[in-house]
Amino acid sequence: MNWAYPDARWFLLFIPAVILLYFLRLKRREVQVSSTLLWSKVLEDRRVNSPFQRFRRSLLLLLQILAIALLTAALAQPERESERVEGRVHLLLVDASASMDATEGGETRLARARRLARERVRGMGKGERAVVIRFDRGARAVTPVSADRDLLSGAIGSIETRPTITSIDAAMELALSIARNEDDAVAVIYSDGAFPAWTGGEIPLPVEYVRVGEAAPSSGVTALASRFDLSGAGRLQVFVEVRNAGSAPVRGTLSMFAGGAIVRAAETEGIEPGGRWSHSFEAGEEAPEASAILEVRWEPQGEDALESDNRAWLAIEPRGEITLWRVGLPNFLLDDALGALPRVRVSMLAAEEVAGRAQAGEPLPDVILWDRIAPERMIPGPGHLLFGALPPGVWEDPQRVEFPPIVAWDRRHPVNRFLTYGTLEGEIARGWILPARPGTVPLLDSRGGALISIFQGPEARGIAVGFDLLDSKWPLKPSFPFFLFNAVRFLGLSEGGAATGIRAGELLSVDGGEAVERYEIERPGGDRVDVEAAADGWLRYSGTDRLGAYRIRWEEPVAGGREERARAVPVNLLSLAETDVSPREKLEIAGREISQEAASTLVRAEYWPWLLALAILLLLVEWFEYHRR
Amino acid sequence: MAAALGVIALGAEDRVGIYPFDARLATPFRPLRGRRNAHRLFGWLGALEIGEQTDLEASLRSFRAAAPRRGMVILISDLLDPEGYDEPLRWLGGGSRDAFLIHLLSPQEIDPPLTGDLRLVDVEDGSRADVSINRAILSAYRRTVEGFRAGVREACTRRGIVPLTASTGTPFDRLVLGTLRARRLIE
Repeated sequence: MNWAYPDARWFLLFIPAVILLYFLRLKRREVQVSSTLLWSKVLEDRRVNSPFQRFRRSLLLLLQILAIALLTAALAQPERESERVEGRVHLLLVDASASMDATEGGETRLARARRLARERVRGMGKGERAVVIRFDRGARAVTPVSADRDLLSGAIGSIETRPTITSIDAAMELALSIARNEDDAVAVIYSDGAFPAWTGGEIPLPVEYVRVGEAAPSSGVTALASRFDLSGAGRLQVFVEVRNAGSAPVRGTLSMFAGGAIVRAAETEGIEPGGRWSHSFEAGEEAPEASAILEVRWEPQGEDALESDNRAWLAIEPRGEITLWRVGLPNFLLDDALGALPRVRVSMLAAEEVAGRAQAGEPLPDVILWDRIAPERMIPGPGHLLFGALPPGVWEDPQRVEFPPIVAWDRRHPVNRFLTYGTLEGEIARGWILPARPGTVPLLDSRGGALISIFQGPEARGIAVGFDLLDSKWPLKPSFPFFLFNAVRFLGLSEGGAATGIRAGELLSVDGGEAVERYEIERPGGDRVDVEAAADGWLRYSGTDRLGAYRIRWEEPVAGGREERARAVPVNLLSLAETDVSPREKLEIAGREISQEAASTLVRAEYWPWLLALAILLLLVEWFEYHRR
Repeated sequence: MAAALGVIALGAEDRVGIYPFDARLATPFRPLRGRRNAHRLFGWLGALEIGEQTDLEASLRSFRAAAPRRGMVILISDLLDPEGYDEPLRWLGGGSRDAFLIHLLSPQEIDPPLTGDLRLVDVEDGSRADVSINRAILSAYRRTVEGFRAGVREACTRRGIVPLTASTGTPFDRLVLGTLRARRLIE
């Protein structure tokens, strides 16, 4: 038995006070009577006939003392001994990604996670503290490390989902950084487990997995791509992939909308559990105008746990050129491949020149390609593509290996579209293994980390290829020009004439020109926000927490006045991991499997309400007894 | 009450004597006859002062020795003697006397208007009794008074004494003309 507030024992001092009051109150009034003879006889008879008379006389006092003792015990909050340890810090990691919006039994998964987390907070004992970390693709501590249960519960209650993918990486990094300052910490993950395994280092603290959600029917759009056909007729082809993550076949209708009106529709025969259905729409002459939005909508028949994955958007862009600065050592294989890229204008620059132009405020390209030379600092704005060099500050001293094996690659990622890395097995002489870091997304995995990885910091983003092209035979393989094409398009935010934009929660960047001062963003739903341009004239907006098309307008100074410009950037979910809402039985954290069963739920057995009720009952009896006399 | 009975007896040309007592028999009002002595009797009774605690045994034993052996004797008392009343009553009756007892209690003694935590002080001997009076205690007290009165009646009957139970709260005319006449104490 533990006492949450043992200091409450001082309230027992009320007992001698009550006894003192009892005796003071018993100062009897003197009354003269003709004889006490009969009274003495009465008292004697009652003493003889009622052995409990003495007790009854002090019954009120006893009841009062007992009530004080019970109230004191209630204040001290006795509780059953549990695993709780004084001083422990609970790191409560609450998943708020898209799949947590799945509704089961009239309650979203997030609502259930919030309820369970609040129960945990209520169960904290004296000296225990907690911090609430909200995570989806990123992570943020929404409270300080605190023992204030109201503060913690309030913060948990204010967590809302964002339609983003889930990544445990940032959340675990944040939790570990907090735990570093604590002697005794436990991480508790409230999630459906729909995220990739944590591949970081060993976690030096206990981890509990509180699984929320049940298996539920779910299907949605998991991939969307487009391209203008090569016939030169300008026909737009839109490729859509629908995945069925449920346990029963699903049928439905796939529609494409332009300007709010349906322009194409198709109906499935039925997608088997775990299966996919790919369909391509040809927009043809009905292709919308430039800067317009195409919306793809999947309407399954029957129940669907998650709605946010049923829509995706494309922005039709004028097919302009992508500007690319090529920096680094001579490499004729690379330069040949670059020269073959359609609508890409390549300029050769020295590293110093790049820094000088950036400092001088000159217009920057869409992409900067670094070959075997790493920039001293990342220039914000353009996308960076690095071969045989690493961006500063992302991977510190990575492991260098020879002939790294090819383990896996993300086939759904736009950069990996239409290519295979299987032919590189044993073809890379040496390279760096790039472990997972906050903001990184592996594109090609080897043992212990990635060989090719996306990185994204607060200002700069890019793709790092962790080996020298000349240390491999990759430039001779068919996959290389595809990779180069996809990577440049990806970094240049262009999808061959139509952009699938960014994922929810990612940084939205637009280069309107250095003279631009403000941007107006019309968010999905119609609300507008004004955003001040960065010093270099770029728009950098992180409030992409809603799916749909973000329409950006700005005024660009031209000779004789200002010209209004506009651009649309879609924000999509497009994640099989989120569409597959079936909760995972186990989490894989640093090679350890953590199951729901292993999670010890510290439900504290509290006795104070019963003690309080008993004390009130005793006080009622005391009141009744007092008035009965 | 003694004055009323005395005047009635003087009016009937009977000799009337009064023997006051507390812990002992005090100086009596010597037996006199004739209505003209009524004012002397009133004066004597008016001058009578409240004495100390009661000692029925000693007082009645002295009375038996001092009083005339014939006639009617009426004991007016509450009989609240810590030593009891049963034994002393044997000195009252017997011989050629017709003995009567007027057992007199006040309404405050029969149904005391008391409640709460009290310290009762006996006006005779100063003894104290601490009592927390509630309804249960009052009921018990009333039962004790009834038992006391019943015990007195039983003792009187056993010793040939005619008992009369009276309350000082009862109007005098109702007591004399009703109760005493009904019990043939007066005609």
